Amino acid sequence: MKKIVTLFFLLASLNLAAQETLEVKRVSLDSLVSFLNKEFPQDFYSVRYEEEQATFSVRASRDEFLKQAFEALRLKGYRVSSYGNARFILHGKTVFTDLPTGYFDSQGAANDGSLDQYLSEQSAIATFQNKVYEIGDPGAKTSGSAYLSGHVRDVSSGEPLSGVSVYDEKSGIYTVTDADGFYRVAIPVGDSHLSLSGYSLEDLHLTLKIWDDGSLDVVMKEKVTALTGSVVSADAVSRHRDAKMGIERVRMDVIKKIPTAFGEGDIIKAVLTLPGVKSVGEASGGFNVRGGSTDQNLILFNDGVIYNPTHLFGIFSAFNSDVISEVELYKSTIPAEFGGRISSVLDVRGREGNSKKISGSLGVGLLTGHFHLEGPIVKDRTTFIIGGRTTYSNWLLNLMPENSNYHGGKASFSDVNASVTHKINAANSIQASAYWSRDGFSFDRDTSFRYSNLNAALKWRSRLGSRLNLIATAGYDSYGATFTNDFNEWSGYAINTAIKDVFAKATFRYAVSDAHNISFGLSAMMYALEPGAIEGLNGNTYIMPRKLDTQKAVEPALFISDSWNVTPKLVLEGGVRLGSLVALEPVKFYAYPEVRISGKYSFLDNLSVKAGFNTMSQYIHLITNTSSISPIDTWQLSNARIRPQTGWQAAAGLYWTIGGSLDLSLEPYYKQMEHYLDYKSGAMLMMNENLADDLVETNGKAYGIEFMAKKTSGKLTGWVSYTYARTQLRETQDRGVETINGGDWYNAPHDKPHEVKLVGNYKFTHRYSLSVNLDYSTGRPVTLPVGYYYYGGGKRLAYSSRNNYRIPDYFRLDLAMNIEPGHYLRQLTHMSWTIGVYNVTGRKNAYSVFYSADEAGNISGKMLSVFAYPIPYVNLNLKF
Amino acid sequence: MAVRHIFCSAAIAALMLTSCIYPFDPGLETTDSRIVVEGAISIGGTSTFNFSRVIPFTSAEYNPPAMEMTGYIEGEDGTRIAPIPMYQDEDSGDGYSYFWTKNSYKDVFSNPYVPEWMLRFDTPATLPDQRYRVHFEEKVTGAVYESDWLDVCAQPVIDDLRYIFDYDRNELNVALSMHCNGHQHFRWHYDETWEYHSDLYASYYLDPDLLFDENGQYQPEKALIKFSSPHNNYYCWKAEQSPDVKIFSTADQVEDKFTDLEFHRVSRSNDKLQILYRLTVHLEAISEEAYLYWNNIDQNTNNQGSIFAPIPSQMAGNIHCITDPDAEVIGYVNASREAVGIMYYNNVQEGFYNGRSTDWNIVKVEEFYDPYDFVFWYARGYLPYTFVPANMSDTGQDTYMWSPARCVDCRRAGGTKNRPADWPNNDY
Repeated sequence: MKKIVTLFFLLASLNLAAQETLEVKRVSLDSLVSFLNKEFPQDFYSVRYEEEQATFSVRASRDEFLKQAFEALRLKGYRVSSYGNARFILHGKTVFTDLPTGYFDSQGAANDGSLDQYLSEQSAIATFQNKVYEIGDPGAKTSGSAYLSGHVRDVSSGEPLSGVSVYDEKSGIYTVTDADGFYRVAIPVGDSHLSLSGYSLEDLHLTLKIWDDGSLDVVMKEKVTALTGSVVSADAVSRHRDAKMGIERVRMDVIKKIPTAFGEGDIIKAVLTLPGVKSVGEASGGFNVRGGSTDQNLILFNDGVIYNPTHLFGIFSAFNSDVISEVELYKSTIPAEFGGRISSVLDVRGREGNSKKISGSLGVGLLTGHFHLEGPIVKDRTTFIIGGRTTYSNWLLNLMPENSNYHGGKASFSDVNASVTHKINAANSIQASAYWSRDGFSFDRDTSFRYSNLNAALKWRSRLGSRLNLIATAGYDSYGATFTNDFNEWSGYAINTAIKDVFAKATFRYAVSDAHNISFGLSAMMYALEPGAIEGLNGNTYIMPRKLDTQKAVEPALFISDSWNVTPKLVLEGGVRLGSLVALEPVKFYAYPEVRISGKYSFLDNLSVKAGFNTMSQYIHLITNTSSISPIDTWQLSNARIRPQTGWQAAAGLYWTIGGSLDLSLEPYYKQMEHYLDYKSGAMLMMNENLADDLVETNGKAYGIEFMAKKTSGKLTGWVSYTYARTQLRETQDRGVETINGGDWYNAPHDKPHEVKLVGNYKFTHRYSLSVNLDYSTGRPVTLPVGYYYYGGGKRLAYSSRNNYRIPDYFRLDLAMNIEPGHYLRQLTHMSWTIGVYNVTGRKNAYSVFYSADEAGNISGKMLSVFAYPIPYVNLNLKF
Repeated sequence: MAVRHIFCSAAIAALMLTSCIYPFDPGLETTDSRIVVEGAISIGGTSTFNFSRVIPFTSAEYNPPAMEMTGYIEGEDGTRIAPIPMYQDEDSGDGYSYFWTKNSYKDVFSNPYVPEWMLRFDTPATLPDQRYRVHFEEKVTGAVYESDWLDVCAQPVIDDLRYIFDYDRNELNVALSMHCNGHQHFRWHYDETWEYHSDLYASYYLDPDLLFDENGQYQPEKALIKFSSPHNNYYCWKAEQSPDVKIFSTADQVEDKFTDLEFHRVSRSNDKLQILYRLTVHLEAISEEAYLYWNNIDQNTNNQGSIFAPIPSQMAGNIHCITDPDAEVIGYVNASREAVGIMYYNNVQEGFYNGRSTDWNIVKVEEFYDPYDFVFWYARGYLPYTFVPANMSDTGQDTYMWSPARCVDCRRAGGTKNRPADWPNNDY
């Protein structure tokens, strides 16, 4: 329908045609198209958006009018495509007119400027290596740089590809796509050659003519012939271009090939194969990064905090590998946007789901089964992914002898992940994700344990301009645990603990200039922590319901950081984070400005050095006096009596890439921790109203050097590392004879000086590969008694120094054969197998060494070996 | 509440799927010999304090420094109670309280523990409403030890001590009920005494010294002696002091009591239940600090090794070395009034016991058939238990019936003929 149109033709009187001004006011799309057809030689076609009520007003000189009109259309969500003399105006859709190499050259396509304008402002999708992509209006800039940004996605699933290096070959300017596959790079105007490379992806080389800021989405496809040849991997490039240190990125396809105890691909077990990451032993859920304790790691899953990342006593981690895209561990240079823990950040990111078609997988292993389903809700616009896991370990417990206390015991877990991603338009997308897990176990008729994680988050990604984008997140995290002890009808009880938080975070990334990229933003987290509540189990209970005061606090933070490319060889990064905690009831305020500084200098393209310095603070503490994360551990917020933990780390690194695919690195570090909590002898950690009385503060120091050789491409891939690291603690107070080890330095439970790790995968063919995992480390310190004495009718153990003994050294070798599905594209399902053996040599590694009394009261030394035998396993995965 | 105790066993269980515990010798060479003081001021009764030392793990022979203790109990009102005079053991020269010897201690319980020194105090005049402390001096080194001032804890009341049959697990559960208004922490220990019998009643016993006379003449008929009533080797008594740490807190309860708290299990087939079984509970109220101390002892000794085991540590007690503040003393003394509960299980009435299959062998030794058979069988661990005269014997000869000693002599199972004076039946 046509509306009343008012057209004004205004001829400027002062000059000639060049001065002619055209104007339309509040016209509909149809009227605008009529006007354009009348005034310009091109043919304009449009399809009006059904609910379109918008009107357009444009005023410009004749030369500029098309440009302005297209801009007005773009602002209303229309895209202009061009073919020959025709221009197509469609809402949110592009008419692809790209043709193979040389086609346009021979045809001599018209370049009237408006096409360039269109190209510069719409999201083109680059797939052809030999096509010349023009960005911006020729002549818009004749010197300097223009910003090119966009997303890199997988060609078949449409999922974003993170960690892809985007490299301008002429200028050497480089960036890496973030978790959302987003990149932004400043490129000198004119001709450019852009190289994109990523792990297991076919390298892509694009030819650009860039005149102005613009965007270019790129799709890449999986590398099929990955068996031979060597290319510079994204990781290798990243290592030499980026000033950040100590960042380990592990992809899910690598994780799935690392042999584990029961064959299930496990993120935390994979992280433990990296240098600088230790655990106190097998089946231990937590991990220690460069001497930090298990609670000093910020574990994020889709931006939500996972407070207990373990399933089934630590045999499995909380993350379902089917729905994970990538894992990044920051163990040295921690970006300013992260805070709240003093050792590391483990950033686990979920996948968005296939935007092209419905697909999924089913898997069964010895103890667990898992599935996932993903696909488009609206093709290329809205996707979903849902995954779940459960265990059937109960049958194993039922196999226990009937007269054993464990017969009929129960141990199980389940978890569910779900995520929906909606692309609002080229510049905005929103993702809603949720995670739920439940663990429960009981081994006798009296006691049982349950714990559960619940996380929900909403993430909005917006490209606010060619130089600015925003990632805003808000969410809710919850973790709760229940311990039930039904040992007596009247005195049986249940203790519940919980931690809940609501968080919001906004991160802006702004390209100030060619040399400076800044990130800034703010975050806030509001905690409600229930340290304990006890209640009776039966109607006639003697238990008096009691609840410790809920701890409430807000943890706001401001952060800003800058990455400064001083020269292509020298990159400096600096950041400041103002972390703080406002504890409520009673009010107590803590604030710590934290600095994050790192720098890189490249002597050669493949040889660089880095150095960095970090300070960190932590306002939440895990209350435990076990070596491993356990379900009865509780969290505690800093308050007037419990000070935040603080720490700093200085590190340096030397990186050398040989032959394009072998990365060598050497990273020494020194770290100090303050106000790290330890416990008085006999401390009561549950339901203790005066917990601070049972805690003692210690200072910690950690230092070490990590060497790693990593091969990222070819038939043989993997890494081997050696780490020398020490971690020691010292109590800061003098409590007389009760002072831990008399106030001297003592070894932390995870102090294991020598460590050798090897992870390798050898591909025989595209379908068959062999994985190997080797782990050697010095035995961890444990506290052993120095003698025994008679007391209370029996022999008792006498202790003196803490962590005064080392258990025997640890050694383990695992092997697995991976059989991938054949590449039959028309086959509906693809089946893959993993057949492996964990602890091939059957070495009886000690988890702990201890003394205990038998029934007759005789005391003797013993050793607990968690996986004392080779554990064979078979895992079957079916993809559809 | 014993939260941690139960938790650790569960954690071990979880990993039993694949885990194993192996003997392991860490090869520790330690030299610790801290002094250990154990005892309590028993208000209105007799107070005993045992002194010993930590025994280090070492391959070398343990030679602790000599110990000779003296001391007193001191009231806040200035009263001092001296120990009961000492008795010198004639054989060993060790000093003990006058009625207590190493041997007598061993006879009562199978526990081999012998303190290095013991002090006993008559404390019938101590008062529940004032504070006390103990003061000890080591005569050899001159070291002086002193406890904190101790509030006297209230005396709990045992409401019930009974057994409950658990037919699912084939166990007898012992359950305790008590109350103690105004006090929240409790500890009890218990000892068990039981009567059992050998498989066969022996009318005779063999005195091997009489098998041959002075001239070496074999005289088996003289070596075989008929028991005179009520003597026998059929009924025996055995006693054990439980090493278990039993503590309970009512801090989270509305009332300071517990009911039918099952704290001990006896297998249905255990010989403890064969005839008559007695369990004696000694219950006392303790301070919160003492409760934590005992909890720490329990964790350190009984809850180690599992994945989620608490890191062990030595908690300081309430006895301090005045002459050397850096010297640690192990032990926590308490001032309390003990409540004693006694429970009997009588299998004649209940019949719950289902143990002891008769797997013994009987050997017949016919008189004079082979004059050296007595020696032969005795050397092989057999004992005679009855005599069948020729007119009643299958063979027409006087016959002695022999069986393995463990089936004939109840003492071979570890018991003694020391029948408690107050044992409530007529077996001897």
